[in-house]
Amino acid sequence: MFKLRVPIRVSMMALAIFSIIISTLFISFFSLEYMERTLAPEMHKKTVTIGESLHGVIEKVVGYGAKFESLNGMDKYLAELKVEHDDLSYITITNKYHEPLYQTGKPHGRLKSTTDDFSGKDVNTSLVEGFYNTSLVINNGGGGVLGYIHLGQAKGLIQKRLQDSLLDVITVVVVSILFSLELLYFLMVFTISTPVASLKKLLKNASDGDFSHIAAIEARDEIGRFTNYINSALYKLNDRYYSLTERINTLKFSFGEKKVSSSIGGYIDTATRINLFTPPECMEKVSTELTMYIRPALFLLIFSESLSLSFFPIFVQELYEPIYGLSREMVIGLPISIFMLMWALSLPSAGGWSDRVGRRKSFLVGAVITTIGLVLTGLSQSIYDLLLWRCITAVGYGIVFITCQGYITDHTNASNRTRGMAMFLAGFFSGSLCGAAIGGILADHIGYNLTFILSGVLSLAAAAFVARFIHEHKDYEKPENARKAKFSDYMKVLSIPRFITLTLFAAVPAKIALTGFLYYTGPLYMSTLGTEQSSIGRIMMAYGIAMILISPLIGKVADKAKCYTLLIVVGGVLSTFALMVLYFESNLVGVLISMTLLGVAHAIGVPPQIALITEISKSNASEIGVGKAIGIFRLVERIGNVAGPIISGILITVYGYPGAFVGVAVITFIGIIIFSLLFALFNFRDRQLPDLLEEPVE
Amino acid sequence: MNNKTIEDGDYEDEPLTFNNKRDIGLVIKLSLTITFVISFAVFLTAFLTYFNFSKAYSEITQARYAVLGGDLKKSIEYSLNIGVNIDELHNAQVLVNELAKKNSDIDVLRILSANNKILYDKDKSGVAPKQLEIKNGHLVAGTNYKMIEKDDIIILRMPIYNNFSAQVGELQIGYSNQQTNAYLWGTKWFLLQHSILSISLVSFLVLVSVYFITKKFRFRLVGMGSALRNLMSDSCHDPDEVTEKGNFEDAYLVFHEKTQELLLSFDAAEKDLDKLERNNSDV
Repeated sequence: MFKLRVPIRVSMMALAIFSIIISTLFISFFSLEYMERTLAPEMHKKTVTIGESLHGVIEKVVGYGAKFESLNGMDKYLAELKVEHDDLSYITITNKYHEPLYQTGKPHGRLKSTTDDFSGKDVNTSLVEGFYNTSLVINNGGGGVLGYIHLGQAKGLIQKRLQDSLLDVITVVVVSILFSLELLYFLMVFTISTPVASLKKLLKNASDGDFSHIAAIEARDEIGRFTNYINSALYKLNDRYYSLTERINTLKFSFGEKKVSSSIGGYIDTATRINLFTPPECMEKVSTELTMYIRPALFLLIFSESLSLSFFPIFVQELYEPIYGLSREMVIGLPISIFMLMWALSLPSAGGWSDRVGRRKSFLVGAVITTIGLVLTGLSQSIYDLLLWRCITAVGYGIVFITCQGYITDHTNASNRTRGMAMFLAGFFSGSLCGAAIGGILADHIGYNLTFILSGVLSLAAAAFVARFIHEHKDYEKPENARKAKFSDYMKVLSIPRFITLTLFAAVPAKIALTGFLYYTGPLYMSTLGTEQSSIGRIMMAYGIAMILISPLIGKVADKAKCYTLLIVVGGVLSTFALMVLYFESNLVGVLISMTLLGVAHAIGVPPQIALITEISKSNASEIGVGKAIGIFRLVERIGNVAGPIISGILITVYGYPGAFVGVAVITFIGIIIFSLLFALFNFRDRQLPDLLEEPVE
Repeated sequence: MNNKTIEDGDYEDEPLTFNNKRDIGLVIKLSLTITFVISFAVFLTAFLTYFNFSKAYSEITQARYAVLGGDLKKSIEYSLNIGVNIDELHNAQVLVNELAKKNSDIDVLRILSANNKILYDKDKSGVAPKQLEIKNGHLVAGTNYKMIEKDDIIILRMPIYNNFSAQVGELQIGYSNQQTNAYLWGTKWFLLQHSILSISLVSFLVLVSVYFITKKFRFRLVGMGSALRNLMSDSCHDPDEVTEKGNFEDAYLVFHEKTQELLLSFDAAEKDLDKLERNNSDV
C-alpha cells in the first residue's frame, strides 16, 4: 500500500501554522465577545444622552409655540445629528400613534412594539430586528404623550468598530507565521539536519576506515545522546587499539618479535593497514555549519530596520526644520538618501574588513552599531541629529549586509551559491515585509520613538543570536576572486556598453522607483490621505508579498527560456504603469494597486538583471571575474537608491504628489525605452559582425 | 566547567561529555519553540486588541460628555447671538447647575471668559472671577474641541463663539477617569487570562502532536544508540538489533558492521596474547 511520507520539517511547519491560527482565533473570539459586553452599555448611555438632547430641543421649540407635527427643518437637524454620531443607524420621531413625522437613516418597521412597555420609564431600549432601538417619550406640558423619539444602532456595530483590530490581527497572524517559519526552519536545521549531516559525515569516515574524528555536537537531546554513543565507540576503538599495540610491544620486548607476531596472526597488521587510528586525546572534531545559520540573524536585523519603513518620512516631517537651499520635501527625503549613500559607501570597506576579522566579529560589530543608530534615531531632537544617527545606522547596516553575503560565499561553492543567495534574498524580503507591517501597527499604538528603540533592541537580539550560534572559521575556502576590485576593474567593467546600459537605464530607475516611491512618496502620500500608520504598513506589505510570491517563479522561467532582456523590459514597462495608476486613481486603493504592481514589476524585472550581468561579465570581462563585476554593478545601481528620495522631493515641490508619481514613471519609462533600443542595436550589431567577417575577400 | 571527558577513563556506560544540566529532548525543544511563536502571536494580538478597546472605550465615553457639553454650549451661544455678553448671562449659572444636577458623574463644569477667567462653575454659584491654569490639550479628531487629562479627570475644552465667529470663551466639562481605568484594568486582566489559557491549551496540543510526529525518528535514534551501546559492552557483538533501514540508518549499519569487525579482531588478538602469556608462564 502507498504510504505518504511527510518529512518532519514539513509536519512541524504545518503544526506551527495551524497552532498560530487556532490560538489567535481563540483570543480574538473571546476578546470580541468581551468588548461587545463592555462597550454595549457605554454606547447605550451615549445614545440615551443624544435622545435626551434631542428631546430637550423639541421640548424647547414646542414650548415656544411651534406645532409638533410640523417642525420646520427637523429632518435636516436629524440628518446633521446622524452625521455627527455615525454609529446611529437611524433617528425617527413619531407622533403618539407611532406614525413617523421626521426621520433620517433606515428605520425598521416595528417601532410601535418597542414603545409598548415603558412601564413608567421615559426611556426604553430593546433589540429589534438586528438593531438596538432606544425610545424616549416626548411629553407635552400637561403630562400627555406628544410622540416618541427612536434611535437605532446596528447590533454588529461593535464588530464594525473593531474592524481595524481584525485587520491588525490578520497582519499579526501573517507575520507570526513568517516569523515561526524562520525560527522553526532554523531550529530543524540546527537540531536535526546539521547534527544528522555531521553524524553521516562521521559514520562515512569511519566506514572508510577513518576513526580519527568525533562529532562536535553538544545538544542534550536524542541526537546528542546518540552522538555521545558514537563518540564513545570511536574513543573506545582507538583506546583499545592503542592499549593492544602497547601490550604487543611489551610482549615483543619480553618474548621476541617473531614469537608474538606468529601468535597473534595478522589481526593488528590488517587493522592498521586499512584503518586510521589516533590516540584518543588527539581526536579531531567534525562539524557542519550551514548557510542557513545566518538567516534568522539576517531576518531579525532586517525586521528591526524595516520597522520604521512605513512611517519614516512622516517621522522626519515631525522633525522638519528648513535647510538653506532645499525645499521642505527635499529635506524630508534627505535622511533616506543619506542613509542609502552611507550604506553604499560603507559596503566596499566593510566587505574587506569583514574578510579580515571574520564573519562573527563583523556581524556583532555591525549589529551593535545598528542598535546604537536606531536607538539614537528614536531620540532625535532635530533634523541634524537625525541625519547623523541615520549615518551611523547605515554604516552598521552596511557591515551586517555585506557580512551576511560574505558568510554565504564562505559556506557555498559554485554549485550552490545561487541557492545560497536566493536564501539570503528570501530572508531579506521576509524580514522587510514583516517589519513594515508590524512597525506601522506599533507606531500607531506606542509612537515613533518607542518603535525605534524597540528596533534597536531587536537588532541587539540579532547580535545575541550570532554570538550564540555562529562560530568563527578560519578554514573556509576563499572564493577565487576574493581580491578587491581596483579602479581599473571599475573602468574596464563600466566601459562595456551592455553593462553600463543595463546599470544606468534599467537598474538605477528601478532603485529610484523603490526608494523614491515605496520608501518615501508612498508613505508620505498615504499620510496626507489621513491613513493610519498600521494601514500604511499593511499596504506596503503588498510590495514584499508580490516579490516573495512571484520572483521564484520568474527565476525559473528566466533560467529556462534565457529571456532576461525581455523580462527586464516587461518589468520596466509594468513599473511605469504601476506609478501611473496613482495619477488616475489618487486614493488609498490607487496606492495599494500601485505598490502591488510595483512589487510584481520588480519581481519580473529585477532578478533577471543579475543573470544578464553575469552573462555580460562572462563574455566581456572574464579576467575580472563575475563576482567582482556583480559587486561593481551593485555599487553603481545604488545611485538610484540615493537619488530616489531627492528626485521625488524635487518633483513634489514643483508638481505636487501626482506630478511626482508621473515624474518617476517617466524616468522609468525613458530608461526602459533607451535600454530596449540600445540592446536591440547591440544585438543587431552582433548579428551583422559575423556576416561581415564571413564575406569573401576579393 | 563540569564537563567530564573520556580522558577520565569511564566512557563505557556513560555519555562522552555530560554536565549537571538535565537533557532536553527533541519533543520539548520543538514544542517550546512553537509555544514561543504562539505566545508572540497571542500576546501581540492581545496587546493590539487592548489598544483598540481602550481607544474605542475612551471615544464612546467621551462622546457622551461631548453631547452634554455641546447642548450647554449651544444654549450659551444662542444667548450670545442675541447680543448678551458672556459675563452677563443671567441663566448661564442656572443651566450649569441643572446639567450638573442631572448628571452627577460630571466632575468639572465651568464656563470661562476669553482671558481664561472662570465665570460660571458647577461648584460655586456666582463665583468671583479667577485665573485658571488649564491650557493646551490635544485636538479631538473630527471636532473643534480639545481634550486634556489632569489629576485623573478628563476635561473637554469647547470653544464658545459669538455671532461674528470670534471666540469669546470656553466651556469645560470633565469626568473622572477612574471608571475608564477600572474597565481598562479589567480588560488587561481578561486578556492576560485568556492569552495564557489559549497558549496553554494550544501548547498542550502541540506537545502531543510533536511527540507523535517525531516518535519514529526518536525511536530509531534510541534503537541505534542502544544497539551501539550493547555492541560496545557485549562480548558477542551482535549487529542484528538494528534492522530498520533508511538513508541515515544505512550509514549507521555500515559503521556498526565495521566496528563489530574491529572489535572481533581486537578480541581475537587479546585472546591470542593471553594464550601466549599463559603458555610462557607455564614453561
